[in-house]
Amino acid sequence: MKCRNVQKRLPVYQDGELSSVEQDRIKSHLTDCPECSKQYKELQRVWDLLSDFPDIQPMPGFHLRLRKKISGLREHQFIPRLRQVFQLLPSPLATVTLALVGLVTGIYLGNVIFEEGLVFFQRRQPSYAQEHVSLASIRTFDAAPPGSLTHGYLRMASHSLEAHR
Amino acid sequence: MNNNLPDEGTLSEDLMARVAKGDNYAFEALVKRHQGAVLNLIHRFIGYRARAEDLAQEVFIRVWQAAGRYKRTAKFSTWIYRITANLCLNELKSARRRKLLFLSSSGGKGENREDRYFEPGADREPSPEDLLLTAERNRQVSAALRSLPANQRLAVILKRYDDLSYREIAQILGCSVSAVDSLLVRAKRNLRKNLIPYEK
Ligand SMILES: [Zn+2]
Repeated sequence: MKCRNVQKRLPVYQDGELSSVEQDRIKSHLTDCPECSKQYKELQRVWDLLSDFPDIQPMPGFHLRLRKKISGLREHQFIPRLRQVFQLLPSPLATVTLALVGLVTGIYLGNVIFEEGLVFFQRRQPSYAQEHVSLASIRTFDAAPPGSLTHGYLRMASHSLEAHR
Repeated sequence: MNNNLPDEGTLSEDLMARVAKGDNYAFEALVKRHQGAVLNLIHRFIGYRARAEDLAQEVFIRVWQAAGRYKRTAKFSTWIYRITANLCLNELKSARRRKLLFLSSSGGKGENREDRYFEPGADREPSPEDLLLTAERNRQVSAALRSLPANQRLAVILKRYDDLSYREIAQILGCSVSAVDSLLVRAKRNLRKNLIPYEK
């Protein structure tokens, strides 16, 4: 084995992370080669020097301070919980779709219910009411299209005015 | 809630399952078991005791917060080392940002220069432990470690002081085993360059 190759692999050999064949090969090379052996000793010396950075122990009260921080967090968990509720909502696209479906259904149901109401208000003039409902489809772009809230209000107002007269 | 004092031999993974159910005793046992490893990894990485203690607490706060989401796919120790390593790297980034606020852009060259840590708490009074650490050789070792680029430094600390395998280090750093191999080859070369001259 060439010294150059041995020296390249020495750091990994030191950690025992080479294949067992390679470990053995370098081990036997080191017994015969003073230069590689010197390099290896230097590497080991560096590793030994690192022991001059001894372990420290946590300061007294480490756990107590940690517990205080965590109970502080527990008290302020309302906002994260609120965020969790929002996270339960589906993706923005699904939310928008859901909202649109809700809106369209609402308008449709509103129209159906209101048309029932028209019949109720105009029981005395059934023929006029029928004609009015059939015309509703072409009056969608009126300022107050039939079936809209505005239209309903106007009709209610005129109905009560008539009653007063 | 299963609030009984856990046995010494209870696996950390089992303790974590109890923490998820709100067991404070299990959390306390987990902290006691891993606080030394977490604190020392951070301390060796950043070199400042008071800040290391704050960050170690941050690690355990994250453990507590993530208890419900924890999955036993990896060893608990690997998982908590990973949280710790990420926190160290974030600390490095924010320290660099702080440094950029104070210094005009330096003409620094070299691929690794950006990875080097701006000493946090350099503007702070040193603690008694910091003073002890300034004993010449300790200071040199600490400085030599901190002169390493972040990933090399993490790999060296996890190998030298925690005696982890390359495979575990790879899992913690989120890289391949061969990447750990080359990180350690380069780190050892750099350390030799920085530490051996002091010997003579
Ligand atoms: Zn040789």
